[in-house]
Amino acid sequence: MKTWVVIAVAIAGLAAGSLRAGTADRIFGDGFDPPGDLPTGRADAARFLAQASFGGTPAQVEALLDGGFDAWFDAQFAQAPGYVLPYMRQAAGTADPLQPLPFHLYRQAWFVRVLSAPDDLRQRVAFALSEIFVVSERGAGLGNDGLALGAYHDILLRNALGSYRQLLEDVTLSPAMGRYLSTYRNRKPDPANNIQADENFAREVMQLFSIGLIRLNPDGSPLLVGGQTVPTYDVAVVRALARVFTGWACHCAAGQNCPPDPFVQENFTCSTEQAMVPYEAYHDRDEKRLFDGLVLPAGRDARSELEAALDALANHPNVGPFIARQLIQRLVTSNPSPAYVGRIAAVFADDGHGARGQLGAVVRAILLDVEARQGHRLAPQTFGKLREPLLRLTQMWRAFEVMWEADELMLDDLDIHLRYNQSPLFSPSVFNFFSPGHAPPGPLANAALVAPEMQIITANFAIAVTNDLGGRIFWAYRGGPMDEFDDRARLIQLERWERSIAPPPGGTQAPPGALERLVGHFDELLLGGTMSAPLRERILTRLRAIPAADTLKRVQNAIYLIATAPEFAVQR
Amino acid sequence: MNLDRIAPGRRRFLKRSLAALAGGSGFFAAPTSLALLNHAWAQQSDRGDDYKALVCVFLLGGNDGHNLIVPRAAAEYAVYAHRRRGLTIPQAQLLPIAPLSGAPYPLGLHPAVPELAQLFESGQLALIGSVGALLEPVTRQQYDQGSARLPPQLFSHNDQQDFWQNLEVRSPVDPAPASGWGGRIADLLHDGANPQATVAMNLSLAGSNPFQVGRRTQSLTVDTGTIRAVENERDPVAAAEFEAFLAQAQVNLLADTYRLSLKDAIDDYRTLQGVLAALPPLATAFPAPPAVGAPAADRFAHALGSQLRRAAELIAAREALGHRRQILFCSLGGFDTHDAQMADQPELLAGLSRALHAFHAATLELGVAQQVTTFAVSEFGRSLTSNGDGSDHSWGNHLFVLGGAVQGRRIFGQVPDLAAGSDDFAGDGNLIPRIAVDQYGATLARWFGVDPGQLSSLFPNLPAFDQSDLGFMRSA
Repeated sequence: MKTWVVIAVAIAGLAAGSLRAGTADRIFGDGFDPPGDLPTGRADAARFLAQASFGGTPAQVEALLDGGFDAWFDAQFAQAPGYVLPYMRQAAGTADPLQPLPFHLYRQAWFVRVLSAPDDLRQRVAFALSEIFVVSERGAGLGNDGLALGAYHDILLRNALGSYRQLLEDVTLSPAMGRYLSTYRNRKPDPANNIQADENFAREVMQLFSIGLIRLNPDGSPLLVGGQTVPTYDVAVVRALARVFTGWACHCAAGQNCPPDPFVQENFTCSTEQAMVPYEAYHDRDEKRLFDGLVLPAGRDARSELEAALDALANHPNVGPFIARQLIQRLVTSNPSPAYVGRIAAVFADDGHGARGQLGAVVRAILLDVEARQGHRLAPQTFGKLREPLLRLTQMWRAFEVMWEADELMLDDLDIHLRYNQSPLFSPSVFNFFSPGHAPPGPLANAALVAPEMQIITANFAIAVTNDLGGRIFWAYRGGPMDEFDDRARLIQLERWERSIAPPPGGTQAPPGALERLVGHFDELLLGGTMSAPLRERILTRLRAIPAADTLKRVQNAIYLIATAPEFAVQR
Repeated sequence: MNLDRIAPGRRRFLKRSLAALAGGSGFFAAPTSLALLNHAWAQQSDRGDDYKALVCVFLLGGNDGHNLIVPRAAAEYAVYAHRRRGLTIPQAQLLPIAPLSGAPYPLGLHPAVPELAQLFESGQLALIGSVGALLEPVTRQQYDQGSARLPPQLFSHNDQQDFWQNLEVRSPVDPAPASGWGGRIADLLHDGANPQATVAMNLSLAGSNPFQVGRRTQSLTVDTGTIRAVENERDPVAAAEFEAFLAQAQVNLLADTYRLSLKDAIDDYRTLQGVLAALPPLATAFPAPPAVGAPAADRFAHALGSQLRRAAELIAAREALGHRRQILFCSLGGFDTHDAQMADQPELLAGLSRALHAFHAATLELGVAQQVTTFAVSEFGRSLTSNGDGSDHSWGNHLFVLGGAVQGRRIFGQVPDLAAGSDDFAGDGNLIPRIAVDQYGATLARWFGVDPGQLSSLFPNLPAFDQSDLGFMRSA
């Protein structure tokens, strides 16, 4: 007997009770209220979940519709993180915290979590953070190191709705980042031997993880002095900060046979969930002159100096707009207005309770901002973002209640980067799969607009993703060929939709209006109700040309023509 | 690609022809039919052998050129070893080269590049010393005083990758879109050289890149594996419906950009599918996929080799593609050797060397070795000084150019003085470029057929330098 693992239905709103005043509001409201706590309908709810999660399931859409945004956030913030390392260890059959884990188990854990864990918001934000605070299996030293990378992903999950400052520290001291950007075993300069401190992390932590290259206004626009941008730091600051990040190597777990000095003998058996620890003999204790006149006096130990430097980075006025803009780009829209960035940066500076850098409040503000909620109406020509290829897949899957029997990944999912040009923690470099400033040549670049995700949707991948989605829809559905063929296949569930258009007993046609309602539901689920009239017409024409008895083919065609359409390639 | 720049009748004619030759129902043209078509074209045109290709090989991350070209003379080697410490290559392992010019003292190449050393010695490869990002000539004194005008964000990977490819100093509030010098060359030459082109002349084997962005011409990313059309074998009608809907303009600019790009991709891949299927297979062996547990060099050789193999196929297909000029873009990542450089760089260089050797052999096989010039690019060189077991981001670098039209076995540019306090280095270990990227590119562009009078429109910093042609290409 098959024991199906069915996608967990995270009904966030139910926790808040089912008898909310919201129902009445929708009945008696005059329809001219500003965006309120309740979605205006299924389309609005699904549209929100596309921004806030890996895609809403029909049940989640209904729950949000009943419970409202506030209850959804409250429930999400209260959800325990769905960490990947415990899952990976269980899958590997080990309880040993030092047991190496292969990278494919991380990929498997990621798919299982993003498709079924109830902490949808946290999972989605952690993925966004993985594209800002980038480490990659493709980096030297991290090849097939599922343990280090799984541990790193859990850092992102743990802090996704927490403090930016804590996230920055956990990332800095993680063995994965330590190895990826060379803080691990970075030693103080040795002038006699012409050796400098390694500048790798010092440079990228400023350029990519915190303050960026140039000074920003509070709304994220570049500060201009005499028409020129102003650098946030120079080469000397990189050199000085490089000396801050000296003297760190791996934690030695109890009972572990560690060399006394990992700087002399490399210790690959270190327990990679543990933060790196200081080895003071290798830490530079000279004075450091950092940005904005900040001086770290001589004589400080590794940890207190690192804390001071991270404090300075986290408190720099650039961080709010710099991080806000990128999170908006990952979740909502590629080209946020300066006012939108400014509003979010203000929440970064103060969450309303006097706390700075609270990512939960930041994410909530991003998702509930009027530009997120109304952008598709306010700026239909420019609002939105290309869906990352992986998100096109997860959002299609979840809309159709993806299910599977065995957690293991079939080959198509194990090497998903070959068709989707991305895969979690698998970026080609610390600059992510795509750049936040990528402007595809043509109308977008001419209008000074960016579309970062377009950088990885090159000709070959545009075709490959189209073909892959088609394959999933026409082969990998419950009761279909892949269901028979491979118990690892992720399957979409189409039966309920088939039933909705089945001719009544003895009849030869779908019930009146059933096809229109079907396309309407799919419009809500996949497009947040933004389907264009020409697409709707085209789909209906196509469905009517398919015999009414072939309900499967009709449903598949409807999904396929939406999932492959330019309208679904963009999240609006 | 730039549809309105292609004679529309030709583009449509090609498609109809392919469909007709293949039996009217699909685009999987039979090789013999296509060969006939190619033959017909060859008869019609008098393009002769006026064909040239530029092949960019981008070493992503910043290759450490100080260990690519290394002093072999005793005194200079001692200075090198003293300066590099843990990054020093043993003197006896260096591959000796005997340059005809440009070497101030005996030099050797990194032991991992025997193929490149052999290509150098046989006159197919030239070395370019101290090349890098410059807006104007810079002296150490100017740099130290802060009086030099410098490209933006030296030492930053992405900014320097961008600068090497677009050569522009861009303000973040500049509304004009960026373009790359490969794209700008195509803007100038494509119409004249490739009037019958069926796909863009800028072809990337390594994804989208700033180099091939033209002001009005486009580039095409070509897969290094199987070229696939949009397929839906379970429901071909659905696929046809999907494709027909791509004719529908979208209100949203992002959606419309995606739509046009996918539409072009489908057209172009149909063309490529037919054209590549008609090619006789290359006899030249390219590096095979790495075996499990194989050295990293095998992985790098295959990563670059599979791009260069497809590049060779696109060169072989030049007539069918209607190309007398092609610009091809490849890349190899991993050169950011902050750590474990002595273990990692040899693997990278070995992979690079093997892949390039195979590619050069393929150009010989195709009879186009004189017409194909491959040039290396990397966003910056690396610090001369060590950080313990690696090197950091720096500035000037040593690169190379490969091909039958290259003035091979010579060193152009400058081999720097590595001694402490040398005027060739700024700060502590940052090589000051003596040759600008603009000069490097202009020399290639001129060989490629760009009129000298138009070089400064492609290479905006060129007027600040005395020499617009460094002389490393034989005159066409």
